[in-house]
Amino acid sequence: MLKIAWRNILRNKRRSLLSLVLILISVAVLFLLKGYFSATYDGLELMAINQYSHLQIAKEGFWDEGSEERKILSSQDINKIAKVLDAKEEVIDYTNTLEIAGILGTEDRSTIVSGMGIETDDGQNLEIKSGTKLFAGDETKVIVGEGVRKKLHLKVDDWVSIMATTIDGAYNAGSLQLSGSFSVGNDDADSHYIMMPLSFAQTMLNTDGVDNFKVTLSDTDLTESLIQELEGEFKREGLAVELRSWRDLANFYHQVKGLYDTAFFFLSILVFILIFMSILEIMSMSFFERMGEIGTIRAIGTRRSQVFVQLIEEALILGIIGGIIGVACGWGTGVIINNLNITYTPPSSGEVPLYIKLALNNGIIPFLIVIMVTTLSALYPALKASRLKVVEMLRHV
Amino acid sequence: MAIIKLENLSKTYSSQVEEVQALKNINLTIDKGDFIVVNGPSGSGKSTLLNLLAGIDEASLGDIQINNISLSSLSDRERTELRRDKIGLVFQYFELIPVLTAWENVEYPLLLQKVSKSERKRMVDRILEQVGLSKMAQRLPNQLSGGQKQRVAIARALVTDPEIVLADEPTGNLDTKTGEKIIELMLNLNREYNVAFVIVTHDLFVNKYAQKLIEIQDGSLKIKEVNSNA
Repeated sequence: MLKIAWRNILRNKRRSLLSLVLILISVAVLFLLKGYFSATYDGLELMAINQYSHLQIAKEGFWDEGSEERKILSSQDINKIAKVLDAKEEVIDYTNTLEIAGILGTEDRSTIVSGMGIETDDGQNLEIKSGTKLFAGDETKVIVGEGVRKKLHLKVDDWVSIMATTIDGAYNAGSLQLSGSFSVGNDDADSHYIMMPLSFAQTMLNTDGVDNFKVTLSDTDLTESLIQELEGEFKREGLAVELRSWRDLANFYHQVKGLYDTAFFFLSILVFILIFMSILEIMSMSFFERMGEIGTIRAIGTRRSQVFVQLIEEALILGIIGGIIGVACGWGTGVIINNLNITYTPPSSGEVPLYIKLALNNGIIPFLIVIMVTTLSALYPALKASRLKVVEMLRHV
Repeated sequence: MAIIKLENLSKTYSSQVEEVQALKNINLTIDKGDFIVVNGPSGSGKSTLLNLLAGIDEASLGDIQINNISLSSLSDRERTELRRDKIGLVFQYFELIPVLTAWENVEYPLLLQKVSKSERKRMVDRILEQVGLSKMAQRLPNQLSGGQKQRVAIARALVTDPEIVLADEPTGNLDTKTGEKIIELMLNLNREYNVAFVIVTHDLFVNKYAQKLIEIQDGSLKIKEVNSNA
């Protein structure tokens, strides 16, 4: 039966070729889209991990919206958490941060900023645009987003004043020297974000505590399991803390992924309809041209189900061959695109390379879609051809 | 020994305008090894009779029994399997599967019967040799002449060792000389395999080979001649 299906495909080469081209273009397009989206997800994941680390540990209620009291980890909490983290092999690094918001200004300009007190020997996975990052030992230096630097007309080594409120609600002010400017790849963030030494932020807020621990792991895939493990251990230590993974914290990751997943879904539907209608037409033509022949094989003892299977096999063979060639073509096109070093500028962001992630995984869904759609589109004509009365089909001879 | 019995068989085609009675109250018995020729003008009901015998059309009234099994009691699947195992069909336009070689066309019914590969080879080679087409076995139908195609069709009909072969105008698309050779081949196979043949034809030269000559006119059947020496 498979032999007959295959030879029937070869019988009308032009029609089969048309179906194949249609299928392979659809698969290649879906493969490239999937590859582009996957590369974007990987980039977003990297960006999110850079920004939030793999996981964060903070005082219980820290992430609750509308909490009036600022939840800060005390120095005792910090010591206990550090002891637990030091014993974990998966943890390759951790750092403390303290958020600070206030007004940053020079003699003639000022702007509202939100920033972070960081341990200066760590936590600066940033693109430095001018000057240098913060170094260990820096106590009164600051790095600002490129937008903040431009807004305040700052140059490296300029001094700026910062005014903030302590955690008790009192005003506090200090001076910082500009070490450099950075970009996090988002214009909005770059226009209000600053970083300073943790000790300076603690002085400004009048506390020896920190907001959270940012923990970097040896493998991103270990994040969820380690969170569960740590939660148990912190509970035993009597620590009232909460843990969040980078996935919990990076809203933008979910928003972009949601948007792209939806786009992929609708494009898949579009391709689905396109192939469905075309293959339905081609298969219907092919089957009804062979009505007499189908009548003959029914007359000599081929069961309805066997006729049905044979016709579906024809569509399946086309789908499988088109799918495989489509993934190969998509892969080849992806290699060419990646080598062309094309760049583009998304909204509120800097220039990024157009990169297609080439992985067989990205071909699975397009391949399955095309197999499903070719089979479904052959279903109706195959069912109809197998259901007709033999005597009626023989009249088509 | 009766293979097929037709009892009070009638077939009526209905349309919105009129009703046409293609066969009227037919009674017939076909015995093992019969060589029956059915004559009649166009539209007399010859092909309808053949379609009913093959179980690809349904009678309006009456009954057809094949090996004492009533066709009307069988499901579509059972009728299909009955055709596969007990009936060989030969058509006017040969109706070979165009994508299969002569050998593969003959093999096809055996594939449906799930006969083993080695047995298929033996059976196909043997029957193709008998119809004189061993050398043409690997040719596609479009590489064969009309007579050769009909030989392949006869081989396909006989390869499963059926009880009866139903042939609808088997010489209708062939010249007289080739037609005669085909009928002689059928007759030889009829004698060798003791398989019954029912041949529906316009060609009068076929009549001389008939054991039973049946004429259908306006849906009524008349056994004209019984020639036991044919």
